[in-house]
Amino acid sequence: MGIEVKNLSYTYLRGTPFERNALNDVSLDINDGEFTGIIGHTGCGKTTLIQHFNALLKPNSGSVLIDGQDIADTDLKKLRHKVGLVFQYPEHQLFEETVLKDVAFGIRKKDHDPELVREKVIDAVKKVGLDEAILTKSVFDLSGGQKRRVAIAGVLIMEPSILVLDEPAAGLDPSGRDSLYHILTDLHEKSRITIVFVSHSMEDIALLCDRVIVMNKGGIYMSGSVEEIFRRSLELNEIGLDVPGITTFMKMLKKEHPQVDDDVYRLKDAKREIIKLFRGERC
Amino acid sequence: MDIIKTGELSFTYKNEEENSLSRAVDEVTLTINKGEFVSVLGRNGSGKSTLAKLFNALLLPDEGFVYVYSYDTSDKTCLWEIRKTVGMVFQNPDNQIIGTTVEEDVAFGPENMGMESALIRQRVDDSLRVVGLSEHSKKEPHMLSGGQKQRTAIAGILAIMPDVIVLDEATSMLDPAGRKEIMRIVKKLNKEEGITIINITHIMDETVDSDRIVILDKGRIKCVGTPREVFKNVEEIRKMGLDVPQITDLFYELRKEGICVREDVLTPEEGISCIREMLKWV
Repeated sequence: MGIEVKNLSYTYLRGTPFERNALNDVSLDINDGEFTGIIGHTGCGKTTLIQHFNALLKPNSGSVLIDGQDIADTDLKKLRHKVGLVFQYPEHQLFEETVLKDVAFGIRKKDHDPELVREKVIDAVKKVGLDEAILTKSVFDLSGGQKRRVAIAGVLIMEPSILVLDEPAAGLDPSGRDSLYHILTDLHEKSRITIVFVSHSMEDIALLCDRVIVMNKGGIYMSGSVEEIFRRSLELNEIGLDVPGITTFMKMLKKEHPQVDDDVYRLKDAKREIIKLFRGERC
Repeated sequence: MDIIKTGELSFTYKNEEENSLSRAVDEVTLTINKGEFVSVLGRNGSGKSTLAKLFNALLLPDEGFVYVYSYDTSDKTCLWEIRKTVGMVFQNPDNQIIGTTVEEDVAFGPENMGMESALIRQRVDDSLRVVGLSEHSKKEPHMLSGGQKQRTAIAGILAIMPDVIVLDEATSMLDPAGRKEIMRIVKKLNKEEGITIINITHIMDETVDSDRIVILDKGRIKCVGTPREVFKNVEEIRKMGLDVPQITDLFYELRKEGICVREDVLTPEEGISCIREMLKWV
């Protein structure tokens, strides 16, 4: 089940002199429980694609199915509870007076019992690693990293089974980035949420994802496991993308030491290979 | 020769409604030398952007001083000289670009300075050439890619011929190609035009070539040094919510395994030669 995209095309401002083709006959499947990364140049259609996942945009042609249901004839409210979309810089959308009110916004009409709402809010903020004490604070008094997490809590409270995040770490400092990634890994492993993760960082994609989709000029350029994608470095270079820095390093190392395995995309694997190199030569 | 000098500099944001204060910059004493490339690191909320705004009098010190050359930023009569000397590029180019075409945007600064139109033309053309946007001069800014927009913002700064450019997370919204193109241009401006660069960033790889790194934590200077000096203290850096370049991290991890590699490896090339040296001896 999960997400099925079939021959999806989309053109902005269709029928005007400014029309711009953003997606061209895109087909892909994202299975339940997968952690999928999407990479590609600015303007390659990533954001247009993910906006179809909860019907913010509707296909000009082709179809998008969420759990087997076509988004064109699904109840939008239900769909948007099922597919949570976290935009770039989601903290710009915070607007309520308190964290409690902001996080509760998505369910305030569905659940009337304030106690129940409060409980759900507490649950959501805990999921993003924040303390209950934050609920009474104004969203504008929080740090950048906290705001980002509150915004994500506001999506999680709707209990989505699919969470789509557009560059969630942009602008966060390294510790904020790391704690956000812990939260995502936790959500994926413990709550079995399907995650779609758009990023410009090849290192982060290699660290987090099971599968990678590469987009170029409104189409799917390739898709596969982290290893399958990053092994094709020349093709990635052709569209202005790159492999993780650690992979480039291992390729350089292999030139001097052919016995090194350069099929390496994460730091811990590079470490293992280099240790082997040292220990091997010593024996 | 120093170009920016701060002494015991403090700045506090006041929230009038709640009567609360938060000290964003706390007794910072720092000198930036002419022609230097300085990277400023620090977690979100550590005071980096506030400090940057104090450098060109967008904010004024509560305590202490900021001098740009011999101009005191607190002295209102020096404002124009200061703004001409220190240019700023912000995170989101959309907030900085105002012209309806690229060249009009770049001309905004010189026009405001009351420059002659022939000279403005010259400055605009020169600036666009430096950032590689000459053939896009008639385009509307919103038709450009993120990297091109950010280059337009830089050209707009160049047109007023500043001696210092402060970049406040100017690459954080760009894709890897856009990021590379901005860093290439900034390094060129530093090396070839002698422009002093202050780059505020969260991306550690952007900092390895800089002359100095300044780390801010809770508004205070936590450490200043060359990238080599700063990044070898991996644990210290992590405690401050920051990170080291991935290659430095790899060599740190190898040391933990008892392999005595150098602790100050910054680039892949250095890493390769370090491993080569070590394998010679085993």
